[in-house]
Amino acid sequence: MNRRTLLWAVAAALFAALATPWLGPEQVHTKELLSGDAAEWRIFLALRVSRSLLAFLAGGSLAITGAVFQALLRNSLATPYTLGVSSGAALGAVIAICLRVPVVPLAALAGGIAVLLLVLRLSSRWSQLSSHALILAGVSVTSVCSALITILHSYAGFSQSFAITSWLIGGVDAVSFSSLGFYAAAVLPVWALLIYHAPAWNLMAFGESWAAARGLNVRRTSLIGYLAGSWLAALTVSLTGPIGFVGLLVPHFIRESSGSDHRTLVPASALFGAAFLCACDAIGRTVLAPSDIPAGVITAILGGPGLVWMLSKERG
Amino acid sequence: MTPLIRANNLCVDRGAREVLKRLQFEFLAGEFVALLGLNGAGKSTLMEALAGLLGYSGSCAIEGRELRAWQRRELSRVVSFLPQTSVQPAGVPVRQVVAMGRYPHSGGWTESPEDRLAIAMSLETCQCTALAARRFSDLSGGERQRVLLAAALAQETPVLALDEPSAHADLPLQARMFELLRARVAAGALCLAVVHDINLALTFATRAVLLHEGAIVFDGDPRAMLEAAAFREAFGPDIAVVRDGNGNPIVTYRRSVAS
Repeated sequence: MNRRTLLWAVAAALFAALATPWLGPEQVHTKELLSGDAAEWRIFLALRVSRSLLAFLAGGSLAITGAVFQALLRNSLATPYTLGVSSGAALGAVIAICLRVPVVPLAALAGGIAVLLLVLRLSSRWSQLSSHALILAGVSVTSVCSALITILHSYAGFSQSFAITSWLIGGVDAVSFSSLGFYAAAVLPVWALLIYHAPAWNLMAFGESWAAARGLNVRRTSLIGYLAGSWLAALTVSLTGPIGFVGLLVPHFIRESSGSDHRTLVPASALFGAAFLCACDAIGRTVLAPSDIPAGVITAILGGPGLVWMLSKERG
Repeated sequence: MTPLIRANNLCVDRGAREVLKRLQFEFLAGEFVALLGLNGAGKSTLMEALAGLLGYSGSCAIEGRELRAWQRRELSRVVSFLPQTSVQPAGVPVRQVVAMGRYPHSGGWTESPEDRLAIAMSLETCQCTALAARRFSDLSGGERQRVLLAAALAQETPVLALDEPSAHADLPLQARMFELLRARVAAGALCLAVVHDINLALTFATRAVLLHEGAIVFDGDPRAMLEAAAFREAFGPDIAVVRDGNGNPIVTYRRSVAS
């Protein structure tokens, strides 16, 4: 375990959670807040704090899942979306938008879970949840979902088409505290579960027979990892849309700087991921204020070059 | 002496193919068994089966208890299995790899003083202490093999099942590895090793098991194996046995480009 990395992660997460609510297109009226103005507080909490907290939990969920999937699939390019969860969620959301039913997040969650079950079923039929079968099943289901989304998109009306496009980019928006509470209660215990199994991810990263020979129940542990990670990804995507690169970039960055011990990597991914998405969202709502750039655009703009830079460092 | 491992009519299938056919053997503590045979003869399958990774029919008992009745974690405190291939994830320090051998004992979150001692000792025995802080993926093939062996030894089990432990190792390293395994055997361990270099088996093993097309065709003293008809049949007519100055047998290939 690397205590220094963990301390840095805690510091980054705390800083992001405390600092980003103050950033935005409109100046926060600090003086009124400090004097306890109730109306001012209500606006601040509803618009800024809830949004930062959503970014925090979403970023952490995506990055922690990325770290675990990369170990389980033994593929450093694995992301929370590799098993197709996000494409299923997107299909669910797009169907809901086209049918004009106002339950887009629920439809997305249902779509994500449906795809996950389908992928697990397909790959356990070919072979016992081997990483190749899972990746292959994920890729094929993703391509079918994308095709269906394209068809729906082309038949959608103008306003729906706009809604579809902005949903597919992925971004963080202010949410009600009740949804935020439900989301936190649904993801935080899963973070704890994934962190608790960190020694098992260390073993799995060395291959299944290696892990089994050290006494790990490989099948059970893999299933826990896939289900827990996909649950995080599906929930997150249903609230924010498919925000890319957080789940890929953050674990890579930590692995590069402090090595690949999952006892450090998994918790640090959660915390740095949380901080990273908070920061990206704060950047998105300030750089071109008053227009609000979705966080998914910022993560992609920073993430692409970031990944290239990291890989070139790795080689050189 | 009761055998550590006893197999009776052990059969293992992989897909539709019957890989191991009605094997019969008893292995005792203090034996160094070299598993020999051509590629595809079923050596690795036997190792994986003994590590409890494969389903089987017939009977195979370790410490008198049927293999399929063991819990994974319990079994890994008795059998330490070194697979033939492993993945090399980036960024893992050598010490962490060796520490994985303690997972069956500690669960991987904490290290007891015994864990630390076992890790340090296996690093030392496998001459990996100087490598401890380096990253596993940056090592050479032979160094990696040494580290993996150290992890298998850190598990401190009465049975070692090693699938080609000397792969990628240079000649002196091969000898050193087999010497340290021999020391474990002298201390009472049962060591099973898949070996392709018959000379290594002749030098270090106390017993040779020759697999051919999924069946045991020879089981006994390594030197006696050289005289067995099954040996010629398995390895073909071009394998020659010559003697060194002390009359020890050396197995070599008959045809030579130079002559």
